Amino acid sequence: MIPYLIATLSVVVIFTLAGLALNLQWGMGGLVNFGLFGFYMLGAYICGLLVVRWGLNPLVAMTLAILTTAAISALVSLISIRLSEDYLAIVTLGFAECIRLFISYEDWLTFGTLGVSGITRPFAGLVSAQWSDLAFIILAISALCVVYVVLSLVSASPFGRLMRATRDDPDIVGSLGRSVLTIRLRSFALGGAILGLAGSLHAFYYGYIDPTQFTPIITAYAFMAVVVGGRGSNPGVLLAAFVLVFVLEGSRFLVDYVPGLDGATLASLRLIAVGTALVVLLIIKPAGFGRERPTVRAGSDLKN
Amino acid sequence: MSVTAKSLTATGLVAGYGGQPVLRGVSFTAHAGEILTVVGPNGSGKSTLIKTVLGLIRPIEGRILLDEEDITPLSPSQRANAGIGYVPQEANVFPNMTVLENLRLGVDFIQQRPAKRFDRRLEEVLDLFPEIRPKLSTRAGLLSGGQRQMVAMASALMPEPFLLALDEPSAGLSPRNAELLFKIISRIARTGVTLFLIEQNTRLGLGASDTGLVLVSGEVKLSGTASDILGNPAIRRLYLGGA
Amino acid sequence: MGQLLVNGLTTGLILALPALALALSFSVLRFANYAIGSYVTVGAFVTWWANVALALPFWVAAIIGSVAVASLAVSIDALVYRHMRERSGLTLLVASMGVAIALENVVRLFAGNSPRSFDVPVARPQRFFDIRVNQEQLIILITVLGALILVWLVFRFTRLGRAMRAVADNAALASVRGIARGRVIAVVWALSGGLSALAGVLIGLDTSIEPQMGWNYLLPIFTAAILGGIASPMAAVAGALVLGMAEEVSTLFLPPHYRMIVAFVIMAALLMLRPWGLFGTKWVQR
Ligand SMILES: Nc1ncnc2c1ncn2[C@@H]1O[C@H](COP(=O)(O)OP(=O)(O)O)[C@@H](O)[C@H]1O
Ligand SMILES: [Mg+2]
Repeated sequence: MIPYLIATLSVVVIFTLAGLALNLQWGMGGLVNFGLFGFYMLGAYICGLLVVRWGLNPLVAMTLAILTTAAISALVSLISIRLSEDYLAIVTLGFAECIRLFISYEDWLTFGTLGVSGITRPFAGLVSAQWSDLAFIILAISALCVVYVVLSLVSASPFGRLMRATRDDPDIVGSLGRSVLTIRLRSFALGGAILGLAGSLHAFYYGYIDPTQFTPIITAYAFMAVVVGGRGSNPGVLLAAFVLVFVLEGSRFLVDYVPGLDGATLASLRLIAVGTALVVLLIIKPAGFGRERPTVRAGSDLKN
Repeated sequence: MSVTAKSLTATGLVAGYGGQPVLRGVSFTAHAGEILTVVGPNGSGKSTLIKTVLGLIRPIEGRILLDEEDITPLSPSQRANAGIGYVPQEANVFPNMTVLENLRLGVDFIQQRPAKRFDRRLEEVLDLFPEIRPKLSTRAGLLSGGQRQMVAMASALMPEPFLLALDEPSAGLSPRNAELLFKIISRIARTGVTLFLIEQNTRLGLGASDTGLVLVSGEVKLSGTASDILGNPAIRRLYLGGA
Repeated sequence: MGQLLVNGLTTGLILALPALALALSFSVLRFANYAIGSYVTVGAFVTWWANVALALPFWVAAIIGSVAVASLAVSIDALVYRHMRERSGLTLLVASMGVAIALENVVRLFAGNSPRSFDVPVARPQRFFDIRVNQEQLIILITVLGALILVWLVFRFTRLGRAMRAVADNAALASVRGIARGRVIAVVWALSGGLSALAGVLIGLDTSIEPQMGWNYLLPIFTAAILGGIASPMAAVAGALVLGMAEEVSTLFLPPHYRMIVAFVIMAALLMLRPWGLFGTKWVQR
């Protein structure tokens, strides 16, 4: 039971990080990242490859993965950042597909479809194998706490209000002499850093990564978390991510109880439910179940 | 063109945006075949008034009558079919469509009274606006502001409306073009159409009109014959630079 | 070289239909429909079902598939998008992703993951001056050209076509001119769904029918539409042909599985340099 809980909790933490990243980009910043899974995959692969191919210390590899994913996020967002936000969605999606193709076919660098195995976790030398999962979950939870605190600070800071103001009306922010471009660039890069972290933790947790683990479904789940939690609300997304993973993980057991239900059918049913729920929530409860902090005073921050 | 114009009457109109009234009890009558011009400072609610007449804004209170018929509950497209033509202040043509297509769209979805062949009506309307005749296959977005205004008016006239509502038709036109435009407006009125127009060019607008209405802060400050209003010293002070 | 041209043309023609469909719905509704890929997929599968399970002739099945997806697109609008007309385009975008996920998995639920193909007689490829053209390519050419000409005629010369373009051009003025926006939107969705389904049928004919087929075409469809300037339906067709050629030419020096990367690079370059499209004129962008 305890190992199972730890395993589920690890998934929850990683998934929550992805949800928080999207909440920063889309929820607060209005930047639709349909290619979320690609940045997550990038983080996982950079981290995994640095450890396995070049024998870097896992923590150093993770740091480099975070920085690189952030930098690449910024570059990708630059492609369409001057245009209306709709374009970013397809640009990020296209980028993610390209990353997946590149990783699948460039074996010389990425091991291709074979995947990267033997990714050692941080502190692997310090703890015995039987405590490894526990050490991992402590690391993951600490990382989540740090991210959560940083995001809360950002959200309450003048920059956070600028982000929300940019989301709601970029023209006004622009006319007040603030650079919409810089605000978007920074928020997208910060979100990318969190995705790089989530990807690295994914690589550490499983110890083995291959291209089939990274699909648009990850993106769908992250959107689900943000829509349920309430766009812009960090506590809401945190709670939503927990609930969602437990529901989704819990639904695995249905296979044992419902006759005639196999894994593939269940997977399809689950995604039909996710897609439908996403649509229904956007229609009937567009603000989600959490609450964004009020932006009434945004104007006063813009001026100083 | 033997359309019998219809009168437009508004009583106690209260209307605005999101429950906030901009118009606060506006009443007026534009008699059949007359030109009624509404003047007033920027932001006084002139465009709001015309949009309410058109049905783009639902009044909170008050009624709008076309002759005897109460059109208050009708939607914009129903009002168009009841015989009201409208030229908005901005974005008054379909820019990526040719002038001819713009004119066709004037009648495509509106029942014409009495039903006339398209070609015949087109000729009549082009006689009013000879300037656009050579431009029929040009994209409307490529025309000058004055020509676009003419296309817009022509298109609104295609279904032979009883009433034509124009929102600041002379805005952005050169003085020469503005005068030309008002000559055309007078001719339109003579063909049996009631004209309801908004103008910021007070002298020109009232000069061509029968009746005038001064709207300030959503209320009718003054109404009467156009010449009376033009001669009113208070109005001269307010809008005609004390001249 | 000639062979390259024929293959590029085929790729471009297949892309032309959904690119047109995407630009059409964008021009009238002002949001990018990510579910377009799943309309392609559903169209292919319904046609496959009518063709193989019901043993109907291929062309009858294709009509059934197109009509089915046309109705599906109209129903989805009535169920989903209609309730969000006043929301921002971004919210609709995310909703359309939800629609796409749900639809694609409904297909998986019923049809599983294995690839299928239509029941059509195999014919030997024909040769014209040393260029090999197979029967599928001929069907694609005729179908797409037929569909495009039909759409163009409707657009150019009918009251309905004018209404669609009018709503796209100036929705407020269109309503004042008596055009019922709701009805135009329904027609646009029907057309958009029907064209996407037809593309799915042709893709299935050209390669194979599988649940992620529409997904694989999503990026090229968007790239083609952006090449045309996203809001101009007929320019999207030209965009599709340009992209088809570019993808085919790229196979000279890149492995074929990198076609997607070619599409992405073209799209990125375009968005940075000419976001109003290859052919369009500059329009005001925020
Ligand atoms: N779409 C709108 N939403 C909210 N307020 C509006 C809108 N349009 C106009 N207003 C307000 O209504 C008032 C009257 O505007 P308007 O009728 O356009 O004036 P005019 O045409 O006389 O210049 C103004 O105070 C303006 O700010
Ligand atoms: Mg006005």
